[in-house]
Amino acid sequence: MSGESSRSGQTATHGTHGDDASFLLPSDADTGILGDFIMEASEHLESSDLHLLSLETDPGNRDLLDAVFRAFHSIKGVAGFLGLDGIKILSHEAENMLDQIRNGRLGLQGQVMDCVFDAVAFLKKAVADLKKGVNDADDLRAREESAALRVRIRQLLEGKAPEPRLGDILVAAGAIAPETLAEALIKQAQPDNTLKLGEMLVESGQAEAKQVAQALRTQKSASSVPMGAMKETVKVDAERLDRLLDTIGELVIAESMIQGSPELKGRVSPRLVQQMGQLDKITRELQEMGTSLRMVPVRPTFQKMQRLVRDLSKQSGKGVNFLTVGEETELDKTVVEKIGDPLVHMLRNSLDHGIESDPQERLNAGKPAMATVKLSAFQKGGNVCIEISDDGKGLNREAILGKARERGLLKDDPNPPDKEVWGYIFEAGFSTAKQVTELSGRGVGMDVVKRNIEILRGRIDIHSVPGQGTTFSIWLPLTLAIIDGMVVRIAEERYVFPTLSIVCIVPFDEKNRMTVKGKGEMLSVQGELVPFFPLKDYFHRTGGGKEKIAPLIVIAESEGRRAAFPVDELLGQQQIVIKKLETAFQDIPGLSGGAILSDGCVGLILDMDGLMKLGF
Amino acid sequence: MSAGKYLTFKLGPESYGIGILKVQEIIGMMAVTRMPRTPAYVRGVVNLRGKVIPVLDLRLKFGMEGRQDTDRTCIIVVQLQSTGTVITMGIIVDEVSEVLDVTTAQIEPPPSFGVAVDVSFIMGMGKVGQKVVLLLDADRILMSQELAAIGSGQAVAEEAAA
Repeated sequence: MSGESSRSGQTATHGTHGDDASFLLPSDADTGILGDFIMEASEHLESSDLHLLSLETDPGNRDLLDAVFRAFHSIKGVAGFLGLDGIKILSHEAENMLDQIRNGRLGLQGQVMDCVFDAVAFLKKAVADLKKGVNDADDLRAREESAALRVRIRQLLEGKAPEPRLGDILVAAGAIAPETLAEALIKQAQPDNTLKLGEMLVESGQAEAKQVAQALRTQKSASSVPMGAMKETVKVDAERLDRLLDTIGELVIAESMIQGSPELKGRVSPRLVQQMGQLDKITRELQEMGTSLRMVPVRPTFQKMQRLVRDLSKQSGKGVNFLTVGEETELDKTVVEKIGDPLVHMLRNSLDHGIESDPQERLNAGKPAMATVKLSAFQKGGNVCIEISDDGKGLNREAILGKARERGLLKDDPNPPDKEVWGYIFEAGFSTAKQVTELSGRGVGMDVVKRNIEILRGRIDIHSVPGQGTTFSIWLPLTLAIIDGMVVRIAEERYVFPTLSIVCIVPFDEKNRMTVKGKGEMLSVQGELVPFFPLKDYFHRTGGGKEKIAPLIVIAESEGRRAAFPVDELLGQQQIVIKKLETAFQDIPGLSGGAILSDGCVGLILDMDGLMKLGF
Repeated sequence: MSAGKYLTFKLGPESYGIGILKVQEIIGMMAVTRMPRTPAYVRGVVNLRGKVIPVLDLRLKFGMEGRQDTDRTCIIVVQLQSTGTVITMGIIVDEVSEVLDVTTAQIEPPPSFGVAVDVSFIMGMGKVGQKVVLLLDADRILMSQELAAIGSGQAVAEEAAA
């Protein structure tokens, strides 16, 4: 800034600060340097445009961001030297903003991204003006634009995030139902409406005045939180993080081993009990903290969806009111990264096929012309649910049934329950173009969606009411690193069944065992024939049949197939931290990983999918 | 032939050496979880401070007779290079002896016969004073194709089918 003041004497006619910075070329400017500047600046701006476009798809790319930053920086420098104060000041502010982005205090997305783009576009115009010769009209226009742009930059820097919407607050507080909000918003959007949302809700009796007032206060307090209060974050190498988590896991095991050691049990003193209790509390806290380190909010993913829906809605011409709820819900980083594609797919389906293309059709059905698609996330127990719901026409039960019948998917029951019918849309091949039209479209690539969700160890539930819409609920585990498992003993080894896969556990009864020609051994369980799968023989090739069969049978299910696994003993159900097996063992069919059990030994986690595929 | 420090250990009466830089640590014998569908020389996996690592029985790997573990039986945790990645694994040996300094002059080429061991693992014979140590090429103890075979379970599956 010192250079600025020393030169202010020379460029007295062009103010150096604030809104009066001129875009006119000072009379004493060096025209030789000016030519170079115009050329260089144009090149910089051109490449910045390209970099920004790449940054939009690859926001983490540090090199690109640095390149954009340098572009503004060098433009600022030379413009200052030439006395081009208008250009200098704007580049300076843009540079400030980019610096904040580089520091991670500002995210390069949404409004910020738009603003950087606009700054580049503005400078391009200013440089082009210089090339042709700036006249007073250009100067005036440029000053106005520059002032507006700088206000925007400053607002973004000061963190004037848009206020949270009143409706969302009300829904979150449970004061009104999301559907009520959607209706009210649509009413509000109508041209003859002069009321505010809160007023409308109170007037129609859908919300109490007290609740609205409370929500308004919440809204105010939320928006007055300065951006500066945003949490400071540190980027950490994922591997180091994993190592930390491993060590914490070990600590927990070591602690429980000490707790359970018989030597200690003999000499219990109140003080020891208290101290052990303290240790237990701390390790547990540490473990919780460790797990939370990998958790990130779903907000960025939801924001991407917002853009997607906006684009799709524009493309298809269907008016869609897109609501997102629960963006602050946290999920394991890996899950958040992988959930994007399935969400895109399902939202596209909802918009393409779920929502009626003719608004009149909606009005006839007594629904508002503007459709509502809601994307929400919430936590329930150890799971997170992401829901996509639309108020479209719902799944067409008859069409799906017809198709399933045609493809021979239908089991004995000619009129299966809804749940089973909806399940058919996840069948591979239920999705070719011809079927899409017949089936009101649902099921395009749904098999892929389902598979992706299952890789994340989640599941999808469908709820659909004809004429009222469809809700897809994706249930995901909070983290990929932990599963709920049933530890069992088979011979001397301990294995872990994912609890989700267990259908039931029954005592073994020799008379239920039979050999079915061409299918091998089967077990009759509750009237159903289930393939008999002695893991011991399969894993260790003991060659079976002769020995005494284990006393218990675990019936497990995966991908709709069941199998009966004899086990010797149930050792209990617990949260299992999944450990990767060394590369050499990763592909052993039937195993998905190792687990460190409470005594510090390794148990093997069974991969139900793999086992089912192997057996039959 | 690389001179340097070697950790020596015993398998039966014979002494073997493994480059000290390959060795991460030595741990006592612990409970090993058997891995299904792996060759016999793969004893299983153990929990090394939260990491699940495979453990090989070097006796079986070298075609020697298996033996009951004693209180001197140890697991040497080594880091091996295999097709560009580093693998941590444990090898079970009868007992760990000492760290030996071996100079180039003390190393002789491996004998072509007369040892109980497949010579492809042996880089050379170290003769230090009265001792003769078979120097192992750690990275070749489990060669890449063998690792691949374990991984897919193919070798075993074929064996089982035959």
